[in-house]
Amino acid sequence: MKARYLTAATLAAVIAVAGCSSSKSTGSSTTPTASAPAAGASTPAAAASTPAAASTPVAAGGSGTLTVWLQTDAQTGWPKEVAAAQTAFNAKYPNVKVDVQYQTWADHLTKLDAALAASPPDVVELGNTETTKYMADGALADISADKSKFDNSGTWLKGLADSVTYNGKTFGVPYYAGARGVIYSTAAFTQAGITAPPTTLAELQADGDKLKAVIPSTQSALYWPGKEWYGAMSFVYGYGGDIASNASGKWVADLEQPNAVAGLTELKTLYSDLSKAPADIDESKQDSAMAQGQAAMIYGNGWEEGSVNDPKTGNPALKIDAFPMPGKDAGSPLPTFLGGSDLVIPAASSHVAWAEEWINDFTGTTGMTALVNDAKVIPNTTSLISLLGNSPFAAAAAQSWFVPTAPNWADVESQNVLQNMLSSILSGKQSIPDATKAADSQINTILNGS
Amino acid sequence: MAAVGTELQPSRRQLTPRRRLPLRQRAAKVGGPYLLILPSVVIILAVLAYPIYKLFELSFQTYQLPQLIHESHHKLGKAPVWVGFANFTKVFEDSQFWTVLWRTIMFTAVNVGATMVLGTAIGVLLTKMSKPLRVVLSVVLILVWATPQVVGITIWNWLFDQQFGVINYTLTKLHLGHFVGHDWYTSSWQGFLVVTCVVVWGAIPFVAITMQAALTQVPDEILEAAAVDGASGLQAFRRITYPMLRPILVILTSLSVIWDFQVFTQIYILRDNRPEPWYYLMSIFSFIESFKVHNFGLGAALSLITMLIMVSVSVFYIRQILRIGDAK
Repeated sequence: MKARYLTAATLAAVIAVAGCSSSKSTGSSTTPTASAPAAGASTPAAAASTPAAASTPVAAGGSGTLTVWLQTDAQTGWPKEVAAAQTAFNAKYPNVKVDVQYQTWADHLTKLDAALAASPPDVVELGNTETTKYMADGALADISADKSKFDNSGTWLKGLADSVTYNGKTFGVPYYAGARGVIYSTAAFTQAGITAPPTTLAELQADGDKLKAVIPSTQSALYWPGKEWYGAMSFVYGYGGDIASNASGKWVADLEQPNAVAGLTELKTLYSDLSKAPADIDESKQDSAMAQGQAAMIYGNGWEEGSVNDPKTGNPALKIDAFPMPGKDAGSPLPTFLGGSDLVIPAASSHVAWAEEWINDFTGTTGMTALVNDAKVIPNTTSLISLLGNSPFAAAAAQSWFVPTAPNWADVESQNVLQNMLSSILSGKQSIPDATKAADSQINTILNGS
Repeated sequence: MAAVGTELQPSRRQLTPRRRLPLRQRAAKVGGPYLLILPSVVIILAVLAYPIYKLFELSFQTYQLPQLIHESHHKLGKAPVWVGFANFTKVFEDSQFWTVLWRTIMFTAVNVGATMVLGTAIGVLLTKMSKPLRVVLSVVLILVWATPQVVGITIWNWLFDQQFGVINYTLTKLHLGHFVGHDWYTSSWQGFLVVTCVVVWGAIPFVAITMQAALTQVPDEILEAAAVDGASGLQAFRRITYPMLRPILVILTSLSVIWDFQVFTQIYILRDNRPEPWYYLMSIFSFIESFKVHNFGLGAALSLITMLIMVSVSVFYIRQILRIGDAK
């Protein structure tokens, strides 16, 4: 009997493990496998694209493969510019194959981590809030010595340039930025008798109330997905608060402070009055929500105007326009989050010279001019902002805020601390003081952790 | 299975030769089975033993992003540091761990309970219904079983969709409340109700079909004899059917516990790849710690703890399997 238990226990170990691996592998087609972290093989892209072993970094000529990871925004928004960069690059390096692989925001960091442990790509697009951890941990190549080789490196947009600088060294090249503004349906505004965009938040709410009287009952006057943390933090900064500050080397989260709470209170008032969007979804589908007639206004990025009117995925018939999100007082609009992307080179890349060349072909004056004209993004350099004319998004970018530059900030984002806090607040699950206090203690732990 | 075993044993004993075999045959007899089992041993070592060894190693190390970079580029990053039981101490001191563990246990209890009760009920139903109906129900069960997990979850997600979900529509039309635009995930109780639906839905076919197969093994003669002796239906089930089904029930329950304790995909997809902390189960908690927070050592410790819990549950399963194998 005893022996039977012993055998059972041993076999049990095997079964438990087998059960474990089988139950997880079933979902592997869409979710990252949760097996041992060392198994870097879970990134097929990285494994398959190992550059030919023979290729060595040579200044000119040479042959091999340059692997580039861009986000899908480029694939859907500006494929022409990606192709143009490739043509320009291949004019100089005819024997180098550029392999552009597209990644999604939801899981690109998990894939990057796995690739860093094995054979990383040569160029990677990172969100400007994601770079600090990788710079601090030594994952990226220091390109300070070559900075002057990049077009416009003296006039790079500050919000982006800061995000590729760590301890005075440069670890990447700004790619593009985006600012948010209120995108609205001109027909709905006319119908509600609104003749001029609101200049204060109080006016915005009053206009929203007028819209509610004329729009269908399923439509939100202001469609605000609860987890839209970039927009929510604009209220925090607009009311004089901030997410976290650095006091003599220690990070302190400030969301429970009165100014931040006042901003979030205003947001909750607007949300309860004007939005029918769920409290627990993020902003990724708000453009299609508007195209489908669920929103008279959204607080969106400049390029979302294009996707609302997209002939394939949007509604080209919907007439829209935009204005900067107003603030508490007239004349001082709510600061917008200066979101954006950078292009970085992993320290383990064996093609740094090619990578730098390709990046400059893509984000230099020629490439950037085409990108701005085509996709209306905010360029990586102040010298090209004039291309946008008097766009409300370019105007909004003048007043911007940025996330705390703590090495661990990316962990606050990947754990969705702010999204979950907002979802709790806007759904009424938690009061603003309780939710901000809980988020603050989480942020303090993350930012000051080793 | 048991019956077959007892029948075969005497004859096998008679056939066993007493004399020594020639050397070559003896060698084949000894080596043959090992040769046959070799491929599976190699595969198990490659896909299970090595990852588990790594898991053990990681759980005693500080292993974060710099160590990950160091893995194949020794000039970069930092080498892993051995920290003894520090990761485990940190886990046990973390109140979130205890919340998640308790939630996982409750979740498993509810899901296994619901799966077993509904599965057994449908299994019994299958044996009682007319043949055409049985065929229809069996086909439906097989189809559920054959639906790829991710596809099934996505369909459930649409059913419970806040805006376009047919559940909200139907409940409102039936005047069971105002469900227009109702968000099922705001309250974690309702959210877990949806998760439970998805998990139990996917688990019922296996239990129901296995139970039906087991029920057909209960001889009608015994039940008839019991009826003649004046036993009621409930008495017959308790005294005859249940003891005969017990081994199968133990196996199904322990397997369900193992599966439900590790639920990951359902929640991960229903919550749009970004589960909120109040939807964390052990598997998700460990995944987030490892792959989102880059604290692979801590994540490995969490996985190891989950694994040890599973091992203790599996003892029941294996003991039952061995009992059936013994067939004394």
